[in-house]
Amino acid sequence: MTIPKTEAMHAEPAPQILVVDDDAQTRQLIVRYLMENGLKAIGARDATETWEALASVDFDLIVLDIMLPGVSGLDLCREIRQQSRLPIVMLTAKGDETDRIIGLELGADDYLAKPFNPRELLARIKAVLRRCRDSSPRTGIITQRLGFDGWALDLTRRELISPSGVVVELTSGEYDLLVAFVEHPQRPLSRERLLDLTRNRVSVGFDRSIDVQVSRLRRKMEGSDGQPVIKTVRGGGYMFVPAVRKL
Amino acid sequence: MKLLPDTLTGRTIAILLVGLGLFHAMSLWLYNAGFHTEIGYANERQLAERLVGMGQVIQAQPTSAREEIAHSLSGRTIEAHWGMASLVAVPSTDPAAISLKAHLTELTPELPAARLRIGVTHEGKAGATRHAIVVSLQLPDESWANFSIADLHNPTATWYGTLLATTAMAVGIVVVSVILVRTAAAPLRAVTQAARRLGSDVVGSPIDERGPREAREAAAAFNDMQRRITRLVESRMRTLAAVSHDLKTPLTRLRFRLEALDGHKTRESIAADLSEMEAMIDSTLAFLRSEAETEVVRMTDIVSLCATVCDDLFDQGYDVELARTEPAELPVRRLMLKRAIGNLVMNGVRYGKRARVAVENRPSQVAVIIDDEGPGIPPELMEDAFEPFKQLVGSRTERGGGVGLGLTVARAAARAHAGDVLLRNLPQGGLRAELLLSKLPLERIPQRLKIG
Repeated sequence: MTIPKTEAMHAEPAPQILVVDDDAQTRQLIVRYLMENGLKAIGARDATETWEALASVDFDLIVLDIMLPGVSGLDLCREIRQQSRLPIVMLTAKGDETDRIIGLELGADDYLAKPFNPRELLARIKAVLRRCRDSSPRTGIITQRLGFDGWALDLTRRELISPSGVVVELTSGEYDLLVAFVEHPQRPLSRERLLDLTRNRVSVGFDRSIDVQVSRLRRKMEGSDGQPVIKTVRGGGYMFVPAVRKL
Repeated sequence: MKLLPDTLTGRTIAILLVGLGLFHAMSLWLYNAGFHTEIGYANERQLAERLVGMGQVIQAQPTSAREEIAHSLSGRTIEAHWGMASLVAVPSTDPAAISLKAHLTELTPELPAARLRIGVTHEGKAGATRHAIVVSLQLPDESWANFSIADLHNPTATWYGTLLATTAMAVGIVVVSVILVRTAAAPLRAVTQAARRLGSDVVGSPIDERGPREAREAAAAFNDMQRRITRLVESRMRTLAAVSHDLKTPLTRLRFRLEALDGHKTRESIAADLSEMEAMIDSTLAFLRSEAETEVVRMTDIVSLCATVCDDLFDQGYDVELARTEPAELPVRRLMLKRAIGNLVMNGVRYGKRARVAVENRPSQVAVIIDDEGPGIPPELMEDAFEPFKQLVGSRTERGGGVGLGLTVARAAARAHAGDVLLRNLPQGGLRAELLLSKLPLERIPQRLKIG
């Protein structure tokens, strides 16, 4: 189930990406950038062109702008999701949290607010592709919640909820680390492994040592029983102690 | 000194009381005057009859018995004497005397006017002067029957009764009018309250157009004004939001074009400029959004919220520390509050070199306290600091890239949580910003936001 870090994109044919954005220049810039970075990419300007492209080419992922003329990106996202499990990365100029949640609830796999850094888009695309190939396909993307030891982690809203029902705010680094832990619970994970698991999720340019992140997470998740959720493993590394189940 | 009462009710009552008082004084006077004239007239007629009768009785007696009969005829108000001389030397010109004489002449047409003399004496009696009327009737045998009469116009006892009755009526009218005026003024008070609310919340519900016509018209005019203000604010918001949104597309393109400029030495500075522009657009949009926030209220751990803000900024290289905390959980709009705390902490590091953050759980509120080590703010400029786009420090570079919305957004967020942001200079130097959050139950947090 785990994939060696050395696995390269080039081992397989380059993933085919469909870029849907009504702004011609933005679309071309994204397509060109993705192609320069080892992906195949085609652009579409609206829902009609999207369906045409989907009918003719076998895509691995769609980059979809929410603001489209005619059928909105959200509607398009819902329609695509009704027909296939094709990964979707949503783009929006709104930067509104509710938009993000709606997008993710409609089945988008990730979400990026404009203006974004090209490298970040690339990292998100790769992360989504890897996640889809990596893990068994996620059934019912809509509102994923994981539970452990009374806590709940809402993957759609990116929220951690304490046993007493209180939202505990996490930095994006802490969130990514926690997701890495709950996806690989009850087994020792080395710092390198954790860094590898979280790297593609984390914002570009962000680098804080795993140890600091773990200690922050521990502080925020201090249970009433005083039992640490994340244990330090001798010889370097950490282990997520509680069992994780779907809620 | 204030002569007029302050409220509409007070003024109406005052005017009513003055009018009522004048009215009553007038009617009392008229009533009394009429009453006295009537009583006086009746008294005079009665007196004239008695005098003539008494004169006839005295006359019928032999001379020796006349004084004795006169004495026995005397009563409380009339004293009768018989003598050979008149007690009235000079007929009086007093109006009462003349009126009495006229009555007597009218009643006894057989009585020649020359045989009737009426005079007025003034008797000093126990400190009070009493008027007495002396009437002399000449009998046919040239002797005189003299009558001295106590004051004709005795004050009557009904005076107090009248006063009491009118006062009771006045009190009744005042009570009724207080109720009426207050009822009539109620719609006016509704307009006042709505106007006051408008100051803090433009999108309030319109007021009922009810009550008297003037109040209805005032309410209608107010509602109209509110609609126009709301439209104005909304169109301004939409414009700004549209501009900010539209800017994001070219900014995204710039990011991609910049990526193509690999290795160029100005690349980093262009990237920094782009980041700054993005931050400005973000804070402008946050400011606009704070007026139409849709985020739901969730029970949130305030300490972890502050820790997240502080850790994020610390990781970006700012001197930020979450120094002391007390456990605090509140129902809040999390992202809005996170932005508010972030703004205050960023102000601390921008203008005050470093920020020390504390969370205090007080009996009725939770306080997030941000202390910096900067120069503080002159007291007279404290309130100005909350004005949107108001910059207390000169150029943008000096301020370190702020747009001038940080405090505005923070205060709007705090007020949306029934709290506030307070600033004060610390005695040891530096500025303290306190973000206060009221411990209101979840459902009492206002769902609609205020304009700061």
